[in-house]
Amino acid sequence: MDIREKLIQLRSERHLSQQDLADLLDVSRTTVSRWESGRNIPSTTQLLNICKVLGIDSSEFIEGSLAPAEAPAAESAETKEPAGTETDGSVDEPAKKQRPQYFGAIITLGVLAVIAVAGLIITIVYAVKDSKYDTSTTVWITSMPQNTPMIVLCIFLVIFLVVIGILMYLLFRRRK
Amino acid sequence: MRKRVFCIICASVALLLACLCLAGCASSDEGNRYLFVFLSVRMKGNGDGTITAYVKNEFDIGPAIQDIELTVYYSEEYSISPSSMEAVATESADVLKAFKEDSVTVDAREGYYCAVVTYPITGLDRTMQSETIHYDSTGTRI
Repeated sequence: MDIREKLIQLRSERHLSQQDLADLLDVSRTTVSRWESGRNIPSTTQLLNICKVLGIDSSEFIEGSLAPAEAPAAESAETKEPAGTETDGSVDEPAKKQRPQYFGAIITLGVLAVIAVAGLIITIVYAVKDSKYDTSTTVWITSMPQNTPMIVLCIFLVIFLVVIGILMYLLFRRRK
Repeated sequence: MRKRVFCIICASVALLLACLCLAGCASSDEGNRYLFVFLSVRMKGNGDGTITAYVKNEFDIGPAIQDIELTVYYSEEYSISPSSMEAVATESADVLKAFKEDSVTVDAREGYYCAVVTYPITGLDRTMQSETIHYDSTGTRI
């Protein structure tokens, strides 16, 4: 008998609905449903909570023999999940959540590294080129293209200001 | 935290570009205007009695730079100001496209040489000057 079958049996013996069990464990009904359907398995912490709430010994629950049923706990277990979070308790979920964060950081670092290497290569190329001369001076000139219509410049200006506004909103908005 | 740093960087770049556009809008001058040009001036003693100065458009975005003038100045005494030196050679280019180079060669005599590039930006002449280098009569740097 696997964990999900045990869970179903224990819940049925105590005449608890999935919602009742979810309320006792302070998780969502969907979480309990996923445990019982086998899509997810409860974490160690959740298993301990389940045992406490259903009044069974945790080692027996895990090893497969069930102690006599006791009255379910009236209050929630000591360890509560934070309100508003729907954690399935799946062991794989934290690792899955970490992967996108690392991926973005790797991409960002990769882009910065490429830019740094390109800048270094360009610097070396110009240093080698300049070494062939007795003196070398360079200047960067930045200005506007000739005959650029003002309307085009204004459109670009508006676009950049909108982008700045969006970025400021993302920076300073309050999270719920 | 990372998201905030990224947003700040993007906002800074966007602000810089917005200022550029604003400057372009504010400018009413109809002189030469370029998006971006990387210009260089170099000088080299050839060792055969001549000295060559080069001006090169290393890279540009937009129209090619126009009305470039390359001048070599000479002085017997060390000076960093072309106004106190003698202009010994001049080369003009109507258009200097990206990655193109122009040069001027002068006969060497012992003394101090520097190269000056004059280019117009928004109707005003700007100059870029190389170091003043001491050469002997063979065109070798001392």
